[in-house]
Amino acid sequence: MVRDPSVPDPSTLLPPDRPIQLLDSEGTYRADPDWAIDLSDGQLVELYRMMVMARQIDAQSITLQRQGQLGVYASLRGQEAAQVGSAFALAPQDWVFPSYRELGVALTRGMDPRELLHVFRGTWLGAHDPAKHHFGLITISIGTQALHAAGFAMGVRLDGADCCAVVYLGDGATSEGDVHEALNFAAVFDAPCVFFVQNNQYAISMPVTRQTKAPTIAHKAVGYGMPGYRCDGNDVLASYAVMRRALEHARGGGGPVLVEAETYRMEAHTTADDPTRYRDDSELEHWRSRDPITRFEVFLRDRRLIDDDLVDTVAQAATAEAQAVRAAIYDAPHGDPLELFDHVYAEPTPRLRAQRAQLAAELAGQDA
Amino acid sequence: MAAVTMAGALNRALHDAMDDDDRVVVFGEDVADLGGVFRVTDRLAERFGSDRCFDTPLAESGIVGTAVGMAMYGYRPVVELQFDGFSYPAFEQITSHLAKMPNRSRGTVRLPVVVRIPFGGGIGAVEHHSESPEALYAHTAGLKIVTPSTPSDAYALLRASIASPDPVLFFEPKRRYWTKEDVELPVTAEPPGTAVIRRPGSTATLITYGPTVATCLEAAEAATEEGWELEVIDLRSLVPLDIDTLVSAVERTGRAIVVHEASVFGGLGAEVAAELLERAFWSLEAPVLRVGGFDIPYPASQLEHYHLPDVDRVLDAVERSLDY
Amino acid sequence: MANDQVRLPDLGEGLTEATIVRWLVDVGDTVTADQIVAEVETAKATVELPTPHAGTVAALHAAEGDEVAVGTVVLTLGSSASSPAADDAEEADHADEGPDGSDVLVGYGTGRGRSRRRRGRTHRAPPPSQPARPRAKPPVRKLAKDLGVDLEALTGSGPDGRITRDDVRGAAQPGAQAGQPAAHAAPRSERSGDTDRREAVTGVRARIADHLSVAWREIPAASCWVECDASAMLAVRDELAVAHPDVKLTPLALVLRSCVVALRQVPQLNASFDAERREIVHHGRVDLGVATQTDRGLLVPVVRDAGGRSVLDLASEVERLAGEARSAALAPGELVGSTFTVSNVGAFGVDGGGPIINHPEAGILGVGRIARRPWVVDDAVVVRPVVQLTLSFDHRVCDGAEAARFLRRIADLVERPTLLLAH
Repeated sequence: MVRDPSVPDPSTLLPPDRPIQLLDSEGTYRADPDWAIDLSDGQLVELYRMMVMARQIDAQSITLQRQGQLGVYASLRGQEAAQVGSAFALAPQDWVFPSYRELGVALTRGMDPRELLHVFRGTWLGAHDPAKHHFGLITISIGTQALHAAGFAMGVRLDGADCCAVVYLGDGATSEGDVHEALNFAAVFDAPCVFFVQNNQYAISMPVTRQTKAPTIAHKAVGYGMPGYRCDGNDVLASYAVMRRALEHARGGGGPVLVEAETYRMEAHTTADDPTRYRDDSELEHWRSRDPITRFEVFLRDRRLIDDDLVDTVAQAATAEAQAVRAAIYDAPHGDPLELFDHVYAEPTPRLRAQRAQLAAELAGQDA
Repeated sequence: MAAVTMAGALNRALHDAMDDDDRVVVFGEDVADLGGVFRVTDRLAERFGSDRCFDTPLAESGIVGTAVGMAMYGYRPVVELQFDGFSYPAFEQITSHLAKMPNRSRGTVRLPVVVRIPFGGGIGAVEHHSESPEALYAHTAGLKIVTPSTPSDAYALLRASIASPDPVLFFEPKRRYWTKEDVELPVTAEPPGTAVIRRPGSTATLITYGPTVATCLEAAEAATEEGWELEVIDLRSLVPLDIDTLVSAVERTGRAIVVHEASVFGGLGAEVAAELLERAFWSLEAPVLRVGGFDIPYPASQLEHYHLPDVDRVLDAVERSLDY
Repeated sequence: MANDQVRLPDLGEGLTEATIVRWLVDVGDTVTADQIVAEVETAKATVELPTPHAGTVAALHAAEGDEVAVGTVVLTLGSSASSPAADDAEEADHADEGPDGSDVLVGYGTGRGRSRRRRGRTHRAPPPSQPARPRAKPPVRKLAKDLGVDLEALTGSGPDGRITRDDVRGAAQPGAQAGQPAAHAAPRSERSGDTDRREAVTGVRARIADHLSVAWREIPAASCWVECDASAMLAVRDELAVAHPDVKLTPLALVLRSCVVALRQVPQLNASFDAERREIVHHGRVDLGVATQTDRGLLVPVVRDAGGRSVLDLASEVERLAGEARSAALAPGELVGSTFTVSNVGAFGVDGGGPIINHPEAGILGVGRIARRPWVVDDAVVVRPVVQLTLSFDHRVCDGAEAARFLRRIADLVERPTLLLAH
């Protein structure tokens, strides 16, 4: 199982002093020969469209929660570039292991957002078939999905298949034991797994500076014997390029990679949180000026790839999508309580069948 | 027919399972070159290669979590947690993911994972190596809990557990690893979920599992001196529990005593007693009694025999039952 | 949810109220769907409140600074006809109705669990199997053990054959030895010549004996009786018999019909006293037990739904049941479940009798023989066919006045069978 027992040279694993950035916060593009972008014009516009849609549906989801249609919702506002850019680099056969904030990744993978929103609505605990979109279930327990991704990638490795597992994590997750174990397993077994950490600066109220003493999260990678990459997570082009490099490395038998995308969580941790208690407006203002969609729009306009009409079209399409999501979620029926017993095991046990009958009788009595 | 130890039967089961299905993989700490600290995984790496039987870093949560991922990919992992007390680091992966993912995915994700856990005491070990944590896991919906008491059952139940589409915690009574049985492997047996009457009787029914099955059989033999014919039932599965067999037994004998190494408070005996009280109320001549460890952390090795249920304690309970 | 109401939802994981900090709209403003209409403060945070629907603000139902419970309507809208969002909302208005009829929305506050389901005692399922042991609860077992009574030898008089404390005490005799059945009296010493013959009470006889014992023990029965001039009834019977020669039409059939009609008018008698639950069960249907003498003892086959049968139907059904009872061809199901019983004691040549109530019914009607007797008509003594009707009734279920009224009703219908046509 262990392919390459040699000890890597640490200097090849340490991250650069600065995160890779191709598009600065004003929208100025600086090409980097080490990080060439091979995206077509159509793909660049697609990136923009996906980010606008992600933002719009995200905003709609917050609103739905404020209207009592979702129990809670974790917003990705501000992280669109990190999610859409990185997901755009994935091959169709690659698998994503998300946490609970990856709506942008899901949209880029072609998923119907309502499949994730039903979890927040409390309809079911998981509302999609992971095998259909190669997208794991929303995972609430922090960092535990990293082990699933590592194990999945170990399976890929055993088969010699062409597939990468990508696990999305937050900065807080890097403190959890399971993430440490997953990084270690993945490295020891050369598993084709990319650990994509969106460092959005906060784990609820805990700033990343107090979450870890490491110089950067990417610096943790050397401790496991894997390379650590850094990118400006508000730069969709850098996010795409760095993720693509990481996937190449992993897919090519080089083993796992840790990527840290620096970004910012513009909204609260979830709709149940009050961020005004631990951060102030000046910080928000600072990051607002580094908005990922604004800067990309500037870039695209400079390139004459979009104009006012296209911006409007994209905005309207996004609004229409958001409305469709709203219509689908609003007052949607709840799950069937009798299904509670169906999937505990492959076949319900006699005890479960009896309990199901008991609930059925209660429900029948209620209607009488 | 040869004399086979339980450890040998388990080893044979793993060899046969890996022969039959090349998606079965075995991993854990020290399972490959060493063949497992109890030799249960002996020579698997040699026969099937290090892609199918391999050692992991020292990380129990990692072992179970990656097993989840490998199962999602399409493998059938049979992993080992080296000792009962070291299953606790993996508790979250077992209870929040292994147990729940099929349900959370509405049946689209199946996790045919077996987690083998040597359990129980009576081996003179240091701390954390003699636990009986089965109740902690039995209380978790979504898991199947299986525990053999004989070598032939160890073979049959492990093969059945590996073939099951559900996640199984397979508790192996480590102090019985070296007991022998004359048996020609492979064998099949009653499927998991079925209890088996190891010794018929009419005076009272002893209900037990794992390491205390032998204790109860010994007690039943000793009881004949007092004129008692004790029935001994081996549960073999804690989840699902074969309550029907237990109810029939109590309808016949009217008296039940549950015996396990685990502490009495909150142990499986409480669940059996409650179920029998409800389902066999009219047949009970006496309350269902429980014989088990005291409600203390497992003692140091020199004192463990005061804690573990023995033949005399079982017979004391039978006498108490007959007094009603 | 109604398209014109904006309620305060649960804004974060179980919070129960919030304070309106600031309204962002006024009465008369037009709003679009999802537009923020207010800022509200919860125990955790200050959040914005978007309206789910479009429209014109018709009324605000809370003032700034008010604390409002989750689920309260805080704003009402008038409809805005041309808003596409309103159309969306209407299309999406397939609200999941909760059991109490209100819309069930996610996050609408705590305490929105299921509404109360129980509406009283529910049907008790029958016991699943006969246990191999006598059915006795632990305290009863202890009593039996202390009194030296063998439970195996007892028949339980409680529900489902359960052995009760009374059963145990009844079986315990002073001086009885442990393990011996104490149900038999001590044998008399033998005298030369006459010897006592003992007959075991088993099977049907035992069941009848137990049943009657229970009735006798449990029911405080009272009785009333009345004599009737049966001439009109006999005339009707004769006429019917000529018209339907194929049916064996006895006067009893007419009495049964009268009984059924009277039960509808005084339904208290079509009831049972459930001592265990302390409830009177008023039966919806009249299933008439007709006491029938057979070789094996007194059986009570049941005419189902007697209320729905004509006199002819009653007559032929009674004939069938009696025949099958005598030839032991009745199914067990035909011998249980009566709601009222009639006992034709007159068939044995007696004028009347106080029958024992068929437990757990509320009443039993004894019908004596029809005999020619002196009867007063217009102050003159004439000879008429007279029949005595006796009602034994459970005094817990109805009082004397009701019972008498019931009996009087039957008597009226016997004496003036034309009245039967009205029912």
